[in-house]
Amino acid sequence: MKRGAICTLGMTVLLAGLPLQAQENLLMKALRDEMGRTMERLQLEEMDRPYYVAYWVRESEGRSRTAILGGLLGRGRGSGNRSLSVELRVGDHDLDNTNFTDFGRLRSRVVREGFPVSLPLRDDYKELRRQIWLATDGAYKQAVHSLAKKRASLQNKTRVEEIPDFSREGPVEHRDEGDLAPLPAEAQVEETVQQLSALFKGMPQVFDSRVSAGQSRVRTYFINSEGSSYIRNFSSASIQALAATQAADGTHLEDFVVARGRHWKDLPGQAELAARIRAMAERLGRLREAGFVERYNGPVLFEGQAAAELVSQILAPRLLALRTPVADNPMFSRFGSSPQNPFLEKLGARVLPRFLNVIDDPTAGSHGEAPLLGGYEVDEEGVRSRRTTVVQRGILKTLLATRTPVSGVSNSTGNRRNARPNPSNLFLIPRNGLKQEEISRELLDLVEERGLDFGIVVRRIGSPDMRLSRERGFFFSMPGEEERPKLKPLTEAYKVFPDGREELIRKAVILGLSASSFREVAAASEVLTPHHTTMRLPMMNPFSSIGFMGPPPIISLVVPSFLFEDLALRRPPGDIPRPPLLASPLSLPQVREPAGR
Amino acid sequence: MKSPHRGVLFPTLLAAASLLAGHPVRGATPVLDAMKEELQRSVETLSKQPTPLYFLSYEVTGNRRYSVRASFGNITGSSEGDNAVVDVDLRVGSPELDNTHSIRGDRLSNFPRYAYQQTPLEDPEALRSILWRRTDQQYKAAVEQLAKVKANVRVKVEEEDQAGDFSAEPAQKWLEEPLSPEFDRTPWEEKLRRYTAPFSAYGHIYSANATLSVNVETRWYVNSEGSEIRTSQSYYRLMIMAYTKAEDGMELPRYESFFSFTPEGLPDDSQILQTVQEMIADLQALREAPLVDPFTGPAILSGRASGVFFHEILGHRVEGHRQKREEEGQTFKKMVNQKVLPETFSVIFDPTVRRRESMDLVGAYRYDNQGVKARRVPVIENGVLKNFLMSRTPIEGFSRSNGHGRKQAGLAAVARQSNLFVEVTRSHSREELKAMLIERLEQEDKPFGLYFKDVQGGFTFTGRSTPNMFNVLPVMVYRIYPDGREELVRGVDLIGTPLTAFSKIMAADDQFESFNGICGAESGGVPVSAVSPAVLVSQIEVQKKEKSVERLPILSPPWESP
Repeated sequence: MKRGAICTLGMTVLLAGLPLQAQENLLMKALRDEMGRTMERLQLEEMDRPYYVAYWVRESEGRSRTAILGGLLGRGRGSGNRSLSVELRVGDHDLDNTNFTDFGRLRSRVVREGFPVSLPLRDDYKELRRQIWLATDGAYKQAVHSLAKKRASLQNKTRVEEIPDFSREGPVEHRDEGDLAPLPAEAQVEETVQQLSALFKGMPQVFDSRVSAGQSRVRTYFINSEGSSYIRNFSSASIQALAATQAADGTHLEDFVVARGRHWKDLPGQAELAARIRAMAERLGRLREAGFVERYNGPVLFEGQAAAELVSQILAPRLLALRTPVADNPMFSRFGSSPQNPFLEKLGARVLPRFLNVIDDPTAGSHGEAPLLGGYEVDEEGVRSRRTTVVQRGILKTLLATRTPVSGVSNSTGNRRNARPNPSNLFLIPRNGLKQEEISRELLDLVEERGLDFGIVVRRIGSPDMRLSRERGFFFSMPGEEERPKLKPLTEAYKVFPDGREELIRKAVILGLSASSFREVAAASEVLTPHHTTMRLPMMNPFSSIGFMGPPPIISLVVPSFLFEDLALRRPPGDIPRPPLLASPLSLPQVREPAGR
Repeated sequence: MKSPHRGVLFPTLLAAASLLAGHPVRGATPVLDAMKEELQRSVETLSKQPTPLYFLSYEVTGNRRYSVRASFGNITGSSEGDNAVVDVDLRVGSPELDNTHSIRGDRLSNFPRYAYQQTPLEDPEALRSILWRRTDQQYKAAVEQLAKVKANVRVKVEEEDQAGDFSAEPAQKWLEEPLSPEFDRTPWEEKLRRYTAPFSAYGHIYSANATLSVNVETRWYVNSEGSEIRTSQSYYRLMIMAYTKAEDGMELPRYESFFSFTPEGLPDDSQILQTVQEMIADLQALREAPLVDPFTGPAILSGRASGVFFHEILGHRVEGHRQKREEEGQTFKKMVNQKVLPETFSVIFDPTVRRRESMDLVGAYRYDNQGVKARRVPVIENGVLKNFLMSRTPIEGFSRSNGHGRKQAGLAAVARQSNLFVEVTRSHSREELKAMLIERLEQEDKPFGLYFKDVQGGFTFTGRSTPNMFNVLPVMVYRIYPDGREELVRGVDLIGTPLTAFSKIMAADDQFESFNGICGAESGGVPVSAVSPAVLVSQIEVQKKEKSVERLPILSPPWESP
């Protein structure tokens, strides 16, 4: 599990007991001193000088555990991790070394720009300076090299549109008050995952399961050569239970329970989680018996988690100002690079029905009683966070942007999270939304109008980060693979009959759904449901990106239920593996007592 | 650390020993019991399927790891953790032809598959549940694979090697107490700070790291032939790495690695600090050392260098399965009972030797990963090739395993090296060896020969689709001039092809050195050792080392020009 992995990598801070003030000052001083020297003196003969430098130092640690059927999958503990990332630009705002795919860059073995460098865990000024010096030197040489190659490759091209490489933003100073959130005790995390995972022992209908829980926290120190600086604390906790089974015909069925919060103490209690896990297992059991829908064309209503995942997987990726870099080698230009976002061409055009607005608001702390988790005060690049209206009355006004401009979006909206733009708290707000019974009625009206036997309501959709069976990929995505975001299979969907009766469907996929399908949303509910998820975007191009590659950030979505008039549903394509030949050992009548090894 | 208890418990002794200890046998081995129960249940059902299973083994590898990392006198990371991984070897068909049979003409399908399945250890039900899922998946994959194998055998020309796919081996029972040494990272954090602090005075040393890795590995193994094995071994490895760059951009590394079964097996602080001072002096000297151009001529390989040389050119080429796969070079396949080295040389692989002089040999083990007992295997006796390193994959003329089926958890076992010993019946003193080299220089009118003092490792290609060469990566190389003078040089790798290189080995001295390392190949990383005297080679070839084109840092170190 992605999050689990991060927690095990990062660990305890050795600095915990030391006075924080003294610590920061020396680290910040080392960063400032080396930055001063860099801006003043770092230059190769007859080559450009840096015009922008930024440093990030991240101190991360975490505590997490995973258990299967009551047994822990190992224990890890240790010191934290302190790493430095450098972003260095030569040229000028209009044309610099970035937004360029340089296939030569991985050859350098010394210090690779964009790849974090380990720093001493304690503040040894001299050794901090050595690491910052060498990392900056490597970044500068790479930058000069890339800019020369970029200029060379642009010489033979007529650029249709001159978009600057870097936006101008005012300096910001920010410092999070207070200490880092405490981490939960190891024993507490272990007990949680052991007890919750042991629930599956009584559920032989579930073939695979695991429960992970933990909290990670990061303190980020940032400075750039424009006078911005921040110190930011971030903490994130979660508990997740994943379960999978097969139906009698072998159909793979998988579902999950996840709870997220900023801190361990914000997570629901074990009794509530246990109830949710039991409900999921019971649902999986019913899904094994449920029938398929072979083909269906007609109205589909998405509610709750399903509506939020639909937005997160299909619409939200299109709301981001992702720039397609110039490539030095046309043969590989598509390899690993993010494809052009079709919404770049839709600024000012209608992308949603008139009754929908989309707002990204990192300053929002909650929706009603429910806390939102996507907020922050300054973004990764030190741009102050702000509320951005992305879609107004159905018209696309802007895209969520970092300091890397795209056509039509020349400034940052304060949405850089990790290395790229990401939503924070994304609100889809309908005007005159319908009440629950009205939207359900609307669905049945459409069913009747179309002369169908039933309509479809979807309540849960699989999430890209919540998978038990994960293929281990060594390579980043192949060209074209991720061009169009695809919706994960529906994990809880029902046929709804005219009399209001619902019948569970085993598993289904929706065909042909894309961001432009959202224009056809027929109705939305008045009630908005908050939901937290992570957005898995096509992997960053390892040859062109600069900056930190971290875990996908958590976004909060606040969305209504959506009714689509016309979608195509199918039984999942492909071969179905046979069910297990032997019964689960959990179904055997045996009692065993745990002992030593 | 307490000395590990090594129980030699054969089945008849087992009950008595356990009763004396006051525990029922069952309670003492819950991991093995859970594995056995699930294995029996699987065998019963899966051997009655239309494509019956004929062999099944489970291996659980538990690792407890500690790691401390330091750089220039500061800790950069310190952690510990444990985990356990499950491996299932499942075979359908027959020992003569089964699902593991190589599919000829389809490289992708023979590519090693990495299946890393973690498991809890404390809970037998959880372990059984994971074994059940894994077995089911692998059984289905095996049935599919066997059909492909059968089709491939029918479609392709007759195979050169007609040996079967799986050897018959006796069941083994062996239970060692799992080791659980107490290990405290704190004193080691202090040690590693001290080891790396001396580098910090030098602005031209761009990286200086020390890493201590401790790994306590316990393996549980059961198979459908009745084997039950539990072994436990700890490894302590300290690595110190530093590098500088020459004016021309060449990266110049210095590595030191100490590897042993116990912390006491590692050198003490004063020895390590002495080594660090040598590393610093060497790095300084390397920056100023002249470059060597490509060259052929005589050379002396130190014991460590020649250990790696034998590991690469001979060791990988006597791994049994490589004599069978038709994409392999099979250098030595047809040379059994032929002379391949001077009569005075023998090469023996012996995983049962755990120590040589003051050094642990980490290629030692008691049972291989296929449950076969480790044993001594003389591969070259008095210059004549006699044997291969065998896993349970038979080859023509060698139908049985000799306990060299090894792997990293998550991969399938193949024949791999253990402890390599180069033995000589006639040895010279180091001075004599040098005199012999100088004599050759005069005979061949060469301006100098080379002395390879230390190496960081090496690699080799054994396949047919690539030139069958090897490359030893030296870090400290000296020119030896006819007047006996030695001069440090830089910028070369030792290269060659196996048969030519072997035919040039002339003599050895009497100073044995050991090299411990992790060897990587298709079945993953396994600890290995090589023990060898220095050898004189009448002709070696060196090629230019891959070199960075990056300049030295542009600005001076911050403390020199703040």
